[in-house]
Parts: sequence; C-alpha cells; structure tokens
Amino acid sequence: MRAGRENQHSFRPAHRDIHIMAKVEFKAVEKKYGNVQAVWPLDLTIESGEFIVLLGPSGCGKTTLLRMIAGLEEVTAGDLLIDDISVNDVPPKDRNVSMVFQNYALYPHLSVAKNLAFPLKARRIDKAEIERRVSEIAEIIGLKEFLHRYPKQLSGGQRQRVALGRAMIRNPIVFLFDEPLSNLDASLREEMRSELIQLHARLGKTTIYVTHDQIEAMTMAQKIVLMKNGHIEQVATPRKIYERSANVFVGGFIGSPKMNFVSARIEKVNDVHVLYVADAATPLPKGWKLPEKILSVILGFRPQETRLQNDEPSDLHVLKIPMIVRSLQPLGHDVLIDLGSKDDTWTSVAQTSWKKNSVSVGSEVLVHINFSELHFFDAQSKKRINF
Amino acid sequence: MKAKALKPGIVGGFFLGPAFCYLLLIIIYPMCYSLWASFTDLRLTKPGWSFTGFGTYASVLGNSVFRESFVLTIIFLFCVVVIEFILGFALAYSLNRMRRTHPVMRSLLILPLMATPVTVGLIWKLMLNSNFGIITMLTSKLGFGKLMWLSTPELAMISVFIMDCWHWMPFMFLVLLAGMDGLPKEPFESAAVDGAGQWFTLFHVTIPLMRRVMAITLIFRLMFAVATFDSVFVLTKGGPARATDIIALYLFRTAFRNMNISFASAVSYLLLIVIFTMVFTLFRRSMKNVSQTS
Repeated sequence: MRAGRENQHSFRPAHRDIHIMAKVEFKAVEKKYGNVQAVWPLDLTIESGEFIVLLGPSGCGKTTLLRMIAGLEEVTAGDLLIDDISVNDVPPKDRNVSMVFQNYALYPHLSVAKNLAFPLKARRIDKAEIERRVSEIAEIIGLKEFLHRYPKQLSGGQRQRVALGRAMIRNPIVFLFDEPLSNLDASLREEMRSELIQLHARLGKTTIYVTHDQIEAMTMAQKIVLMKNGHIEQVATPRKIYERSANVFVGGFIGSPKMNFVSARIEKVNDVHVLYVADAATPLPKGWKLPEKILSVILGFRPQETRLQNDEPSDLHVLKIPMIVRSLQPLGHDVLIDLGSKDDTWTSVAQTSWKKNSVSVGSEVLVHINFSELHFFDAQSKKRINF
Repeated sequence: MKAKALKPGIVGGFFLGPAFCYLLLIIIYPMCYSLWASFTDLRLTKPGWSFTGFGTYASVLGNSVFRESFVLTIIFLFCVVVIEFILGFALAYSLNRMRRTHPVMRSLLILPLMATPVTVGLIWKLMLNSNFGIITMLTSKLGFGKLMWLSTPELAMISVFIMDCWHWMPFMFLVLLAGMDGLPKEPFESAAVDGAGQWFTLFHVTIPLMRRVMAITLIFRLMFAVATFDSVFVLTKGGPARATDIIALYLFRTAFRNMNISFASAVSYLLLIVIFTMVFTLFRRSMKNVSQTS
C-alpha cells in the first residue's frame, strides 16, 4: 500500500509503511563476532523523533549498534524493535531507514542526480515523481547546479550534502548517521553541525548519530548514549551527562580538558565528616548523607571549576588544595594551567581566564573548588556517589 | 665525488639494454620480418622472392578458405568469450556473495586453468571418444544415441566450445572474483539501506563498478582466444572437413605445412588489425568510464 499522505514538509512517504518517524528499542541485544563480544546485552529505548548520539571511544560498539539498526549487522541475541515490531530478520531494504556513511558511500559511477534518485529508483517510483523529488532535494541541499557532476568532481562538503540528500529523499522513518562529519575540516564541520540540528528540527525524524567527538555529541544530541567496551555507561541529556557523570569513565570522557581526578578519603572525626585530599583536610557540610565508616573515593573536578585566587575569602563550602604551577598553555581567552601536587604524586589542570590570572611557572597556588562542583566516585566500583 | 656523474640517460640505457635487445630479437625483428614478408611472395619451397605490394593481401581476402576460417574464428571468439564470461561472472558473483568459502573450493574451481592446452585437448579427446569416451557414454545413456562428437562437423565445433569453456572459464572467474573482492563495501551497504534488492544492486552497482575489471578480463581473454591453437589441434586438428579450422590452425597449416610464409604473414597482419581494433575499442570504452569513477 502506498498512500499519498504528505507530512508537514511535503515529502511523500516512499514506503508502504506510512510512518513519519519511529521508536527504536533494544531489548537485551548483543552482538558477537565469533568469540569476540562487540556489544554486551543491552537495553535502550530511542523515542520517536528523538535526536540521540551514540558516543564513545573507537571500538566501543557504537557503530555496531547503528549497523544493527540499519540491518547491516545481524543481531546475535535479543530483540531489536522498530515501532514495537521485531526487525531482527528484516533485511535492510525493508526497514525504511536511511544511513549516511562516514565516507559518504556515494555511487562513484552515478551523477549527483542519479545518486539522489537511487533510493527511489530502487523502489520503482515513477520517473516524473523521481525528477520532482530530486530537484526538490537538490534545492534543499543547495546543489542544484551540480546535479550532473560526478562524486569525484565534488568537494568533501558537497559529497556530504549529496549523501544527506540521498538519505532524505525517500522520507525514511529513522535517520542513521555514522560519523558523517569526521572527514570534513573543522570549519565545515561546525557549519554542517548546525545544518543537521536545523534539519532535525524541521523534519523531526528519529535520528541516531554515531560519533567519537564529544563536541558533536554535546552540541547536537537531545540524549547522549555513552558507550565503552560494548556496554552503555550512561544515557542522559548532554547537560546531565556533564554535570552528573555516572562514573569515572563518563566524567573523564565528557568535557575538555578532561576532568581532574584525585584519590581522597572521607572519615568521621569528632562528629564531623572530613575530606582528606593529599595533605589537605576539609570538613564537609552537615546536611550531606555521609556514611559512618571510612570511605575511599575518587574525587573529580572539572578544570573550568578550578580557581586559583589566593586572596579569596575563606569559605566553608570550598575545597582548597595547595599545588604548584608546572606549565602554562595559553588558549587565547583562557589559559590552561598544569598543576602538580607538592610531592608530585598527582597532577591536575585548571582552565581560567588568562587576563585575571597572572600565575607563573613554579609558583605555589591554592586551588579552590566549590563543593557543589565536586564529583564523588566510589574508589572500588568507580560509580558516582551522591551525598 | 671526483668522477663526473653519469647522465641519467646512460644509466637508464644500461639497465634497459638487455631487455631491449631481447625484445628486439624475439618480438620486433620477427614482426618486421613478417611485415616485410607479407608484401612479397616468399615461400620456403621455392627459391627467391619478389615484391608484390598489397597483392598478397588481396589474394588472402579473395581466398575462400581464409574467409571461412575467419568467420569460424569470429563465431568461436564470440561464443566462447561470451559463455565463459557469463559463467565466470555468475560463479564469481555467487562465490562473492557467500559468507564463507573454503580456499580449497576456489582452488578446485581454477584447476582446469593449470592444465596445459595439450593436456586439455587429450583429456577431452578421450572423454569425447565415440567408442569409449565417458561423455559419449553419458549422452547415450540419456537417450541421445551414440553421438559422434568429433566426427560430426556441428558436434565437433560444440566440442571445441565446451573444451575451451572448461579450460578458460576459470580464468574469467578468477579475475572477476578478484575484482569483486576488491570493490569497496560501502556502496553495497548503502544500496542495501537505500532499499535496493539483489538484482537491482547487481545491475546498478556491481556491474557498473566492475566495468573496468570486466573490460580488462575480456581484453585478455580475447587476445588469448584468438591464438587458441594447441588444444584444438590435439582435439580435432581443425576437422572434420575444416569444421573447427579456426584461424590459428589455418595459419599454422599455411605457414608450416604449405610453407607459404608471405601468405601466412599477410593473414597474421590482417588478424592483428582486427584484434587491435577490438581491443582498442574495448579499452577506450572502459577508460572513458574510468575517468568518471575513480
């Protein structure tokens, strides 16, 4: 059944399934290549219309997850549902999803127009309709004058647009992006990033985007799925994943420069909980739900939240650690300050305004961090502890 | 460094020299000699020679035996190359689609290629023998009666086709499979997600991407096929009644049985022109495509 119902953007659904967008669900899905476990059993729900980013270092299984949705990889176990229907055994061509590949995967032997028309031609849409839609999409991606060129005659950014146009042309229910911007130069990447955000806002399609670039993830995602070694480490909004990182890995992965970590201990001394970091002992606020016994923690704090003002008035809710400036890395507006502890057992980084800070290498400073900006992780399990 | 450095041209010449001498002796001299011979009436059975200009060529073109042989060769080339190509492509395509194929399987499939043409001719001569050949036996069991494979003109030609396909299809298969293995994966994955079925992908992605490899395979096979001699010579000797008298056999007979060197040279040169035209056309077509894709 092919219906002529149009969505709000005048794209006619090309597929018999008249979905505008779809929900994607993983139920205990896992993937093995022989004996290698690429993805451990995981559950994940991607709501209809959501822009979700699968983020993680290379080899974490994010691309495998994406390829499973596309049908390019089989699901070893578990259930992959699109709109509550298991698609484990549905071939890619019948899933009505679109994918943009890292290297664009354009058909080198076809012109831009024919590349765009390919998905429609494969579905035996009639010629006039194909022509109409090709010119419509060419308009959107701004390549109307390039329709007769071949992929090799286009720049990286133009190829990217063609790939995007080809993904859009048949009005899929889910958009899949596999590191689509990683082959572009920095400025073009920024431009395409905002274009993709606008595109999602306009089409409202379920979009699943794979990247290892946390800036892409933070700027584009409505929800980030952070993965490592085939496991999901955290699923949260960009803000939450940054402010309330679920574990040491997430804390360290998200944010640039990396979060600082230092081993610490919380001990109850004379009815007051004291935080021991290096040589410094700081009493913790009364209101916190703290355990009675000694607790080993990993303390995390972001370079941006690290202040070096020595003259700051004493504040109960501030952790102060004496450190030595090892080197400076000016960034323009800001400066990165590499700090080392006095006994050289640990280091950290501070990022502050260059103008306001005139520390010199070798000088001793007192590092200030607000308690509210401290992240506590269990020393054993590495998981976040909320007090 | 005291001594003046040798000019690059001299060094190059030094290294190129042996190869060039070899080429000169083995290829260029014979080619020039036969070109000269084709404009004379040189025969090894009679002393002396005289210059005939294009006379020899004219007599070649006027010779009905040559014309028959030439037409036969064209039919042979067309049938054999087309059949081998289609079979080789189909086999390569199926093997390429299989997830896992045992290396032994690939080796087995190219086994005929390893046999020398004379061996191939002998094997098929035995198998097609009208008294005890296994194929004759099988066809008679299937109710075709006792087929005289090698002594019926039509069947003899079919025998030559079958033998040649058996021998050379693996070559097509091998080169095409290597070509398919070397194709980038992404366009195929993209096609799968774009909703293309198996046939659509075959005709709109695989074949266009394979065009270059296909052209080169065809060119190679055509060049080899024109020179087909030994296997057919062993199998039928061109008979019965010149039914399988393809051009190489005809040339051999003219040059080394009848000792008519000038006539044979003219035939070779005419043949060269035909092959060159075919190869050049194929090459140019495939190269035109390359300029768009790579």
